[in-house]
Formats: sequence, C-alpha cells, structure tokens
Amino acid sequence: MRYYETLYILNPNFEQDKNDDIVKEVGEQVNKYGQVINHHLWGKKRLAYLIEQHKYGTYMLLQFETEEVKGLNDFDSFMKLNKSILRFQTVRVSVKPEEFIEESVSNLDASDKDAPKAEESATDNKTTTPEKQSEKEHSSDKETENNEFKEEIDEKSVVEETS
Amino acid sequence: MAFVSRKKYCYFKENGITEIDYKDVKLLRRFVTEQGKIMPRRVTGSSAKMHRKLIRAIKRARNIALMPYTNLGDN
Repeated sequence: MRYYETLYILNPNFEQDKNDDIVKEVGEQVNKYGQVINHHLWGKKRLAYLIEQHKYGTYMLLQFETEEVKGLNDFDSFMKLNKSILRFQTVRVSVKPEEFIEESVSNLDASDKDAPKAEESATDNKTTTPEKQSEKEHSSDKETENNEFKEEIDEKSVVEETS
Repeated sequence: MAFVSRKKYCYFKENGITEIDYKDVKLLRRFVTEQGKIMPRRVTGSSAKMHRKLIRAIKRARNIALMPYTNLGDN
C-alpha cells in the first residue's frame, strides 16, 4: 500500500457550505480508488505569491492510501479540471500518516505533534516559543552544543540577509 | 579586521532530522535568502544528502505558494 498526501488551495471567498461541498466531492473521488486517512482544513493562509489574483487561500490537507497508479492520474485530472481549486500538489509519503485529532485545529500553524506544545501555542505567542520547542525536541542529547550552533546559524543568516 | 573562521556543521545532522517536510515553512525559511533564493551549501554547511532533500522541500513549498519563488517585486 502506498501513502499519498495532497495539499490543495481553495478559493478563499467561498462560503463554508461551498467548501464542504468541494471537500466532499474530492473525498468521493479519492474513495473510488483508495482509502482516505485524513481530510481536513489546514488553515487559511496568505499566499507567497498571487494565484489567479488571490492574496489568500484556504489550504486543505488530504492524506490517503491507494495501490492503483491509474487512479492517481484520474485524480490529478479531476483536480486540474475543478475550477474552485486554485492549486494542488500530490506527494508520496513513505510512512503511514497519523490519524488527525480534531482538537489541534487551532494550533496547526505552530505545530501539530504533541500536547505540551499545543498548550503553549494556545496563548498565541507564536514569535519564538513553538519554534524553539520543536528544535529542542530534535536535539536529544547534545543540548548545550546545539545551543551554540543555533546561535551561530542565526548570526549567519543575519549576515546573509544584510549583505 | 581579523578573519574569524567558523566551524560549519549540518543543521539537520546536529538536530537528528532525517526527513524534511515541505509544509514546515518555519524551518525552510532559515535556508533561503531574503530574496527567496536557496542558500548554497557552502554557506549553510549542510551535508550533501540533506541539502538535496532540503532543495526538494523548498521547491515543493514554492509550488504550493507556501514560499515565494522570488521576493524582489511587490507582489
């Protein structure tokens, strides 16, 4: 079984009902060939560049599993022909995606991995804490060394930006 | 002005990151310049293996409008 992940952008001006309709359509399309694992709102975000003159977009995240490659081609053309979808991208993921838990929706842009982080980001100080938290997670044993390194790369990026 | 040499290191190796997710824009931002260009390996010091993965992740993020292709004009 292969796992795939599709991130697609919906027109931001749509009402909730219309969004739901499209999401339902997409879900049905996937269910023809495979099995949906996760399908949920990823957040309304500012686009890095204009797409069809839209500044913002509603990001939807869909994760599914399938065996048929032909089904993927059909899914691709379905997404392409759907005018309400501004942009989409399907990527293969090597490991099975975890089931999405509903309560972490509001904390999605900070991070979506475990509970203590969710508490922190709930206070909405997105500036430093969630990032540092995730960094700390990655570094398991060499904490002190890593801190030095972190500072170094920060300086480096600053230099790069100013030059 | 004295020349200060800094030891380069692979950020991903030091932090035990083996896979880079294209949705993790906060991480990817560290490895692009202000203009949105991907920083060369000689600047970031990342290993060849991780740099390839990084490039793939950044390009995916650009495609889905999470990161800019360029920041030069006011778009």
